[in-house]
Amino acid sequence: MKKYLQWIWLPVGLILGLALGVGYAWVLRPADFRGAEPASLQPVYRGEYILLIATAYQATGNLDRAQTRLELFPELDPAVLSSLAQQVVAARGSEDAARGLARLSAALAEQTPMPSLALTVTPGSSPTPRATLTENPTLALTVPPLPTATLKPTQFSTATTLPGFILVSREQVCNPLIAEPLVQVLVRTPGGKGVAGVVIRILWEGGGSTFVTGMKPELSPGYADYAIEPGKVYQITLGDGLTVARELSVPECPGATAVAGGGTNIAFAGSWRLVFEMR
Amino acid sequence: MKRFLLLLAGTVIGVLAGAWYGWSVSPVTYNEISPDQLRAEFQADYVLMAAETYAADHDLGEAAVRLSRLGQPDLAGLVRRIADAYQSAGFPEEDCTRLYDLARDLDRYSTLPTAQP
Repeated sequence: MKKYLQWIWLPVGLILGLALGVGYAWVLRPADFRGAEPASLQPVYRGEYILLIATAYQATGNLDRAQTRLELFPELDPAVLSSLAQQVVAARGSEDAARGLARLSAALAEQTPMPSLALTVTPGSSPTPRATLTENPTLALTVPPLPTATLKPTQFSTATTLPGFILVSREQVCNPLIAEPLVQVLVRTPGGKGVAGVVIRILWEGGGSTFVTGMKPELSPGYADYAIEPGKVYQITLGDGLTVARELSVPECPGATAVAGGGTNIAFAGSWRLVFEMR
Repeated sequence: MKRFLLLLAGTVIGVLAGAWYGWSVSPVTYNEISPDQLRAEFQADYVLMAAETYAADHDLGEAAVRLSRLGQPDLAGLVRRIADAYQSAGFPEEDCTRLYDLARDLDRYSTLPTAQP
């Protein structure tokens, strides 16, 4: 029995040795580091790298090369690139980068079928099924000189039925470097193509104005934006004048969303992003 | 004595197994790196992108800022080394020209006389 117990020292030694060996391999002498891939970059450098891909593409027009470079970032689909382009413009970043991103987005969208909006029907306990339209996932890329730009889906319409247009998404955009709060509007066909020339009326107490899609074709033919002011409540009308989005006021974004990439903890004014689809 | 030998044998086997696991099966990975920690081929492509952009916008200051992320003190030398490597690897002449142009302009930039007070 006593002889048998002596063998206990073998597993004890094994456990001790394993701990020492792993510690040595992980801490004291890690495997030879030959460098990492761009996807491992810190967010701020990652954004810089992506913008450099876009500006290089804008400079050379070499789509194959840009595509190869973008493959290092699997999350960058055309929709994300387009969204980044809008954020660069909104933050008054590099025009070449924004154009490059927009062109890349368009070129890649032509090659890959646009993902259709996912329609989730949740019967649940309510008597009528609830349809939820979901679009892009949360965007968490840092666009130099922009810190992290985060799209925060806050509310989706239950597809307001209107002649001509449907509001398919209404999102709060929290980007601390957007100089002034905006209402960003994107009008598109069911196939996902931007529609230029759509007149949008924006109304607030004691005033109103109009703006038109297509003034920034480098982003999307269907894109338009309008600067909004704190303290005012706006409503947007499209086409034949029926209200399709109301109660739009400057949203307050929590400071925490701006921390990554050099932001502050101070709450700041956000923007709205409305997407309409033609019927 | 036998106890000691068993402990020693176990420890030796454990160290070897642990080191193999830590180096081969689950080596340390690096996240949140800076551009100077990119693999050499990505650093070279980064420099090429900076040269492509510079060829279009001729903004030498911006190009220098981008290249400075790679942590090399001699930017012109860095670009020239990569241009040489690209040339010997048979990359398109256009790419090499852009790189050499950027290296040349960086050289000129760095040898400009400083303003006198």
